[in-house]
Amino acid sequence: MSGSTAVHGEYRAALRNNRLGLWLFFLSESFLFIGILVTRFYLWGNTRPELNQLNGLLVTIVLLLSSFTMNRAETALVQNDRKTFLNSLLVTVVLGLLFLAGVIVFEWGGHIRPSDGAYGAVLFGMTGMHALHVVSGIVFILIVWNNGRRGLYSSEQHWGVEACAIWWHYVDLVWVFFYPALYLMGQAIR
Amino acid sequence: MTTSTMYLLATAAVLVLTVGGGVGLAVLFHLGSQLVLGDGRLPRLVPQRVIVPTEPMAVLRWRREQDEERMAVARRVAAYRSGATVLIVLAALTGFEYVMNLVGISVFGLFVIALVKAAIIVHYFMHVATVFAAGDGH
Repeated sequence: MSGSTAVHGEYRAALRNNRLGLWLFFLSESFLFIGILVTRFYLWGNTRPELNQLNGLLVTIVLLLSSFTMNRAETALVQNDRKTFLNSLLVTVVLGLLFLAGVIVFEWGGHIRPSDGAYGAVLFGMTGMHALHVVSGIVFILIVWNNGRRGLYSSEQHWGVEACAIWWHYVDLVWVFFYPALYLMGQAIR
Repeated sequence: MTTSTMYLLATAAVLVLTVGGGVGLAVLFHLGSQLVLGDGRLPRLVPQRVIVPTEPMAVLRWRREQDEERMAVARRVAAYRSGATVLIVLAALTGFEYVMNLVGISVFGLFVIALVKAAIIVHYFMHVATVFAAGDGH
């Protein structure tokens, strides 16, 4: 076996372990989010607070778009298109910040306060925990962008980018369940 | 200024804004579709000048490079398009979710739509299958 093949074999073995580890981490994170979701149904039942529907739809679309640009960044690197890779990462960061602004400015700045009983507690608990993950994703993307700018990833070996992309999609995945639970399910209570 | 002049100016302004807005939107839509469905690059306003070599061996080499570049672009476009397709499906499902809620869909129905969206994200964006793959990829 040549030296390069051995290194490549080691990288693949490490990659398998890394992927499995990341998905096990997602599994443990899922328990947290499922717990929060169960809390919402236990405390709110078939009701929900009156929230700005347009804002909910817009932030959902923005997060969906950011998932697309993240996927585009990863695809671009595989295709050796470094310019699109770096640009798409930056666009994802901007969209992530827009999502955060939508939640913090319009939702948290609305008529419901964290101290407003079960409605306030659940709303701020759900959006706050999710926003915390969005912030960590943005920091992760910026680190990957900086590493990408320095040429640390290749089209064959870029576990860092893959992990970052999967993390960002996971954040989107959580919102796929949080959005209907917060904005759509149940009777709106004023 | 007479009323008729004002009326003419207002009509002209509306016309200019409508046509200008329409053209602007069309250009934006075209550039957006180029970015999303094309090879990720905006079209050049001024076409790139191509210098074709004259020496026979150089011509062969140049043609091979051109073919390779074309193939790379085709691969890139195909890869980007699959991501765009997933985005369109997810956006359509989100819109469907929103409209169905207005119509009065049950909590179970909304949960099913969310599950479908989650399955699409896990499969196409998170590449869950690679966890069980023999070790290909990046």
